[in-house]
Amino acid sequence: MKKQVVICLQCPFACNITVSIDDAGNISEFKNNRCERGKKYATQEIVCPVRVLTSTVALETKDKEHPLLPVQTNGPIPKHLLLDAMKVISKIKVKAPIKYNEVIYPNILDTGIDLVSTFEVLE
Amino acid sequence: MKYDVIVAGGGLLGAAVARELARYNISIAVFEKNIEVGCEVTKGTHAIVHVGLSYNPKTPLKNRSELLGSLMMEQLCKDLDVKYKKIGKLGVAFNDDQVKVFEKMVTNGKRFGVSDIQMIYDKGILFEMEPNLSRDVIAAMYTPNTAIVSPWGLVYGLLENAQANGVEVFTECEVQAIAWDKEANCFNVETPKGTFKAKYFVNAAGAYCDKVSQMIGDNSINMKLVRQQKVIVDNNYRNIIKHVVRTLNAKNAMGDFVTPTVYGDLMAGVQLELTSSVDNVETTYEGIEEHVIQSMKKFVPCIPPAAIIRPFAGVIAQTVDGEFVVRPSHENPHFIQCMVGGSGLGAAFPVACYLTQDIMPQIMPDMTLRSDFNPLRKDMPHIHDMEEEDVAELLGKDPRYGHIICRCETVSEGEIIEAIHRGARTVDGVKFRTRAGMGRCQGGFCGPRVISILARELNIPHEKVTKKGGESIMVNLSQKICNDRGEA
Amino acid sequence: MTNILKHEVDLAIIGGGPAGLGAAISAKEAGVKNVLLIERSEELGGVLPQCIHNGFGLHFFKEELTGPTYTYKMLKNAEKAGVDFSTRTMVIRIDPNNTIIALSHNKLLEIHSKATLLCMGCRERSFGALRIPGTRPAGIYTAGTAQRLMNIEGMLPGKRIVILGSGDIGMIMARRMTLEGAMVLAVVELMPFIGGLIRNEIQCLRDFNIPTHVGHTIKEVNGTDRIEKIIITAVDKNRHYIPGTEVEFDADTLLISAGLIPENELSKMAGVQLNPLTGGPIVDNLWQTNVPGIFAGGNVVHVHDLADYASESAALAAVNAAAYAKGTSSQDLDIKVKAGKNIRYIVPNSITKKQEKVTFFMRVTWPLNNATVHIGDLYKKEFIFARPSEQIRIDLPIGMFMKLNHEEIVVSCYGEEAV
Repeated sequence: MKKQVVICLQCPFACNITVSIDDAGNISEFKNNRCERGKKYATQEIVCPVRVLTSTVALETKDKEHPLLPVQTNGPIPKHLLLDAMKVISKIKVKAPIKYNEVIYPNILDTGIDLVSTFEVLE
Repeated sequence: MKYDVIVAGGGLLGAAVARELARYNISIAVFEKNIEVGCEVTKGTHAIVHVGLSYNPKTPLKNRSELLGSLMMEQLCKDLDVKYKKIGKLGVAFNDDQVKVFEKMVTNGKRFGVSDIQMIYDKGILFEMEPNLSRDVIAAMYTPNTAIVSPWGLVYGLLENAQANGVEVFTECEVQAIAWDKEANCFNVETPKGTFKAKYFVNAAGAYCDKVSQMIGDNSINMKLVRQQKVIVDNNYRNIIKHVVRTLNAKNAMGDFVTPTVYGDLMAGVQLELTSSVDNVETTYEGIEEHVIQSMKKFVPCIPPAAIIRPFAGVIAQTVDGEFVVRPSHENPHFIQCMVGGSGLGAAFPVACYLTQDIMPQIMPDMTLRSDFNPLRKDMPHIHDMEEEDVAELLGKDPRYGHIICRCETVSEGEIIEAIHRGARTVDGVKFRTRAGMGRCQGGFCGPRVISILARELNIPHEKVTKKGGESIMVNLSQKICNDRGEA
Repeated sequence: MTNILKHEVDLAIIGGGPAGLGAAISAKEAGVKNVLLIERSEELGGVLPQCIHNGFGLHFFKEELTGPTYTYKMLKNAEKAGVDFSTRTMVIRIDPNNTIIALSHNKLLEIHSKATLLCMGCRERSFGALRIPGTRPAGIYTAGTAQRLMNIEGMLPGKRIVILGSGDIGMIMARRMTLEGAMVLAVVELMPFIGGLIRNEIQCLRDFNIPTHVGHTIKEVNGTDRIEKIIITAVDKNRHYIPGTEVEFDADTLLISAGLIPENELSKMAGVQLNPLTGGPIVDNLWQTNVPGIFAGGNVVHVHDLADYASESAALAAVNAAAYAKGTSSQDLDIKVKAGKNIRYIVPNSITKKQEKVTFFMRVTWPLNNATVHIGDLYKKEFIFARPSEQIRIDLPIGMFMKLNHEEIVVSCYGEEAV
């Protein structure tokens, strides 16, 4: 039986939720959460922590002083895949024009999550 | 390549010598070790042009050079379009012993022809002259003709004028070895840019004078290096003091000071320490917090430490016995030693004149004056200093002057490009020529833009742009974010 | 002089970041005909286009957005509202009579405006201002400058990073640099607690196992051309070095995240009085400065936690500036507002005109649990915790204050120290 503390980020209370995990790896108890959302969040953080990844890709555009396009995953991906995802992203090159929210790279690392543009570049 | 004269050192002294030599029908080259000129001892000076308070009978050349420097600087700066302001100095005394020392300086000053040097005992007058001066000051020595100047501005002015009059300036051109060729009757000077020949060699290498002198076997130059720690105060305090304010140190020599600069900020100092290396430019806790800041509080209590935008340190060089060394070498009369120091930068120009007018004709009697020497030089435009109608006119001619890059000092893209055309190759080079990065945000806003402009104008990749040459690259692109930069 | 262009506008807004954009849209929606938004940079958005991480927009747009997306949406709204703007336009002078001189491409602009709204935002505290002993080599950047280099210009500042300051910008950059392949050797924080949001502590520092040293500062920076070594030391309660606690890092880059300073050089030129506690203009409940017709909003007044709040506060100020430009006014009041116990600062600093409500923004000096904020004797609000990094906003109806005309309210906070 072990205990792990997860700080819930769903709201400003930032509850320090103590989660008890039995020897089989199952979560048996939650302590200090003020609401049910905390339980769901803490479970996710322990079983498979996920994060939205934001970064930039190389952009061919008229303005040579702005050679990057800001991008993000359009949903969270497993935290342990972040650095591998960055390796994929570092090889991507796109060309203007780019629409806002345009898919730049679909289904990154087989997560079902797409990489999308977070800005609009006209030329 | 063969020259009549090679001048080693692209600092204030080398620049002054080159410009004065350019009056003659001779070929001249200046060799500067660093990628930018005027970036070592020149930068370490206090930028104050003293009226001449050096009366040690053992240093006659220094004494009279200081006096002359004070008299010559104003016109020189007018001719070269360099920033200069005669603001006067108050040597302030906090106790009776100091009053006596200043009184002696006044007596000596009068003896040597320093105009208007006087004591002020009336505190009413004193605090009207300097309302924010500490009320612990009991009297002061006043020298109305003390001036402030831009040290690197002078270097750029002198060298650009020298170049306009035919002098060639080489940077990244360290003198590595000198050999006398008896048959050809000239020096062979080895540098990273090749071997050059010169009939005469002027050693104005500042902190490296002894090293260069030893290259021809002359070990007579005995130098000491002094590290000086100072601070720059935000230009919001520009009206807090009007004069150079200075006091005496424990040895009753001129010591700590607070002074306006020609750029509108204030400079305060100074912690002095002997050092063995020219690279020892660290600031220390003791030097800045315990010494400089405390002494600044002592003079002008209303300036808070939070007003400081930057501490810095520089190394200056002077001879061990304090006297200037301006003479042909005992080892070879074609090699002219030219070493100043410990006197303030005003003395450099008179020394250059002395070298050119007194010494050179003796060893180079066939030297004739050029008929077309032009002593005048115009500085690049500075939007910050210009009248608005003149700015409007300049924008009409070149809109790049309307694109402001450094917002703290109002420096435009046009100015940065002009600085690069005039010789800047690094971020610091751009900084000293234009002021971009010297303001209160210390390059936070303009930094990336200056790097881009340098890369573009010099046609080099961003990762080759340096702060001050050598290994001081600004960014590291070994792991590229943007694979498409197209440069590598 | 053909190169001097004169403009007459109702409202001039100086600064096109989240505050200026929010203000411009708000002014157009309030019916102001002639609004000019002036921006010195090459594009609008202020610092947001380089803030490629998310966390913006939760309040203003009710969804979580990245900085560039927040900018995109604001720009679309500005376009819809018909906002006029001028980029690469730098204001070099403001006179107290609302004459604005600016440099813009090949013209000098002389702008006469009925009202002016200052939205110049902040600058970062520089390395020089910290007076850290040692040398001054290449490789030292403020966190925001490093962010610009990386996210706009595509340059990696260095490979082995030490970050001074655990505010949000410092933590965000710790993550960003790690993701781009640099090694963040340490985040060094003077206070005994992390300076920014807990969310960033977890998702930027803990997620990447970045060594964090609270209660530490940098003792020395070394390096001739580029940084070679950084030495940190623990400090006691009085910020004195604790001998024998030095740790050395073989670093090549130093990022400084040591605080934001409202950028008020133009304000001073216009005769605007500043509040030494915030670094920004002293403003009343209309967000008007002491100079009639000159208003201020966003981070130039005080540093807001979120861009959303900067947009909102500037939008509020714009409504008042618009009313001023139209010539409408309301009843005069004279109530001073002062920061009391445990309150680092509060804005506005006075209530001078009758308006529907008064919005107070404040920060506590130290983290407090079970904290109660007292607005004089008139009102109190309880909080489970109050932190300096999270500003407190309290909106109250004007009726509460009417009987305090010609008096002073002191705002204080009482609670248990959390650290």
